[in-house]
Amino acid sequence: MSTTRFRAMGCEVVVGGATPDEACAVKRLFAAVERSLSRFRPDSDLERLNRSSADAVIVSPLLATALDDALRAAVATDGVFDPTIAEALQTAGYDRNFPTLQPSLAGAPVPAGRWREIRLTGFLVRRPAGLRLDLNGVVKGRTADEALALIEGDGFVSAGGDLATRGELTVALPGKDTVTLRSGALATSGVTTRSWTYGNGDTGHHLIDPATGAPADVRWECVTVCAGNCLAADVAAKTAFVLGDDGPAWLERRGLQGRFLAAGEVVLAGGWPQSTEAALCT
Amino acid sequence: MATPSSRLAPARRRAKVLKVASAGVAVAGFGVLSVVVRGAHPGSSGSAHALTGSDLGLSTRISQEARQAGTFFSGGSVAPSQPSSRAQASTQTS
Repeated sequence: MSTTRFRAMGCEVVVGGATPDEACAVKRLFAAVERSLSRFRPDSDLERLNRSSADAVIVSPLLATALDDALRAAVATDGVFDPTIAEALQTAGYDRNFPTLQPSLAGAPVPAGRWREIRLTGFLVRRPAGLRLDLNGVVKGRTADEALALIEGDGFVSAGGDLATRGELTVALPGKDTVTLRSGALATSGVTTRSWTYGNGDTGHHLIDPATGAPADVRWECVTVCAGNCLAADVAAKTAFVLGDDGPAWLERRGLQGRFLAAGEVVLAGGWPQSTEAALCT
Repeated sequence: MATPSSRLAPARRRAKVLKVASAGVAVAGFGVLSVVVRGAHPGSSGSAHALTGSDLGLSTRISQEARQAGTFFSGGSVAPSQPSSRAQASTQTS
């Protein structure tokens, strides 16, 4: 299968099985979504919304779709997934593109949990002015799903931890393991890539527990989830990670297969197939 | 005892008043929405976002998806890979 690679949204995107025109369309899609929804671009639609002092704001179709995804995810996870963690992320030190991050010390945690204050009607967003949003938890997954739809035949779109596919695919997982993805999508969330060290030696990461406003203090290094699409898989992986030891049971109650990695330990949930190989997050 | 015609006349008057009031409420509501829309666009000072046909199509899709919030987590399927099979793609950690 032919592959095309490019960088977008702070990660490498790999497109498999696409014609040159389809691969070009996928690249344009990622670029357009990043321009519109990045928290790190002052001219993005998202940052214009975050800066607006109006209580009611008309937003772009892309932003409305992403916010709708995020609010549905918040409902489906009882708020463990929360688009109002932007302030907490910033306080934790994640205030610019990851490669340029220079966190000195974490500020006091800012609990989130304000997603119920957001109302989306078509393209009209109502929320208390000053309530900043972060949509990174849904944007990449949704974009991978939409990008796959641009490919006519069997193929896949991989963006960082998110992998959407049409047709059966053998997938390398973090560590020394592989799995066959028969249908749907995979997403992996964890702290092995997007984590950082403060000036005092403490570490932080981007998976915020909305209840505390601080990086989730759990034993997992990463969690991989299989779901019907990338959006759902990514939201489920982040939620299962933040839930800590309750994560595997949470996945099983939703009929989702998941694989949790901790130091030297693999925990499988929901019928994720056993592997004979030892796996460690890398 | 009132005659049928004397009961009909007040009923017609009430219906006319209600009709006029309904139209007024609709116009006022549209006007309020227009003001909100014109004043609320981020980064602008009074220009409303022009809605296109594709925008409206997307809005319909959003509403449909919102109704399906209860089924957010549809399932996919993974199975053991064959020992000899080579990975065709990978999921990194994000």
